[in-house]
Amino acid sequence: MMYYETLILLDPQASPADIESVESQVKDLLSKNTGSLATFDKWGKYSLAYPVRKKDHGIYALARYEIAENHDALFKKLDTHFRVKLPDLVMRHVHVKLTPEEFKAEYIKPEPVDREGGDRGDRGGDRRRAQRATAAAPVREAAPAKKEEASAAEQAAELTTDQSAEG
Amino acid sequence: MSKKFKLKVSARLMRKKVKKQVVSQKKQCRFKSNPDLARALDYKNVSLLRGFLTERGKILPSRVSGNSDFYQRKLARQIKLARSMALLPYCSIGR
Repeated sequence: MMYYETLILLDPQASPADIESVESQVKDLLSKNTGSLATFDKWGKYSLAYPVRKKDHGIYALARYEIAENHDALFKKLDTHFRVKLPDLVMRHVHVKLTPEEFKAEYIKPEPVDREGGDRGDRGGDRRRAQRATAAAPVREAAPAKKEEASAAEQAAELTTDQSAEG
Repeated sequence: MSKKFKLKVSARLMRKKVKKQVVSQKKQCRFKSNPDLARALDYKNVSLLRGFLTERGKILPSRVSGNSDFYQRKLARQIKLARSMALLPYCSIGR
């Protein structure tokens, strides 16, 4: 058995029904090609790092599945399905091969960051985040509900850092 | 070695070389020493990957991040994958 996962980026205006239909279509395609869908995680709406099809948000879904050996035809079928049959819904997708351990293990889901305050990127000193990696998300990305406060704070912080950088 | 007069070119270059060697010896690959971190190295783990990008979104070289060859390549591959899926920027506007 070979284990794979496919991360799908869907249109932000996709309804839950649309996403369900995508899930069932993927399931059908897999079962026709000696595969079985293990999980289909809907991550929800995320702010994209750059505009895709002129949209700043997108809905992510991660499908994990296993198929019998030597079934490369499946990926061609999945690709054509996404590109020809669902071009309005599916914006991007990528297949990744997994080891059996990775397939069973839990993965780390990114936080849905709202970048209305502007993407400050990583200023110097934030590289130490990599050492505190796995579970912890960076402080400024926490609490997406307080986006207005956060964006105002970010703008204020951006101004002060700019002043210090220029000074 | 604090001489007040200007050193000859060769001596200056020698001092630079020694300085460089000393700095690079201190860095250890954080993935090699921590297998949990190595397992967390994934294109979906945006918070981890972000720490290896500059403010302009460029991937940090291994001489700065201290990563070993193997993990630097793996990291770069995961970052590029994340970039293609709009989880990370290709280029962010830094100030």
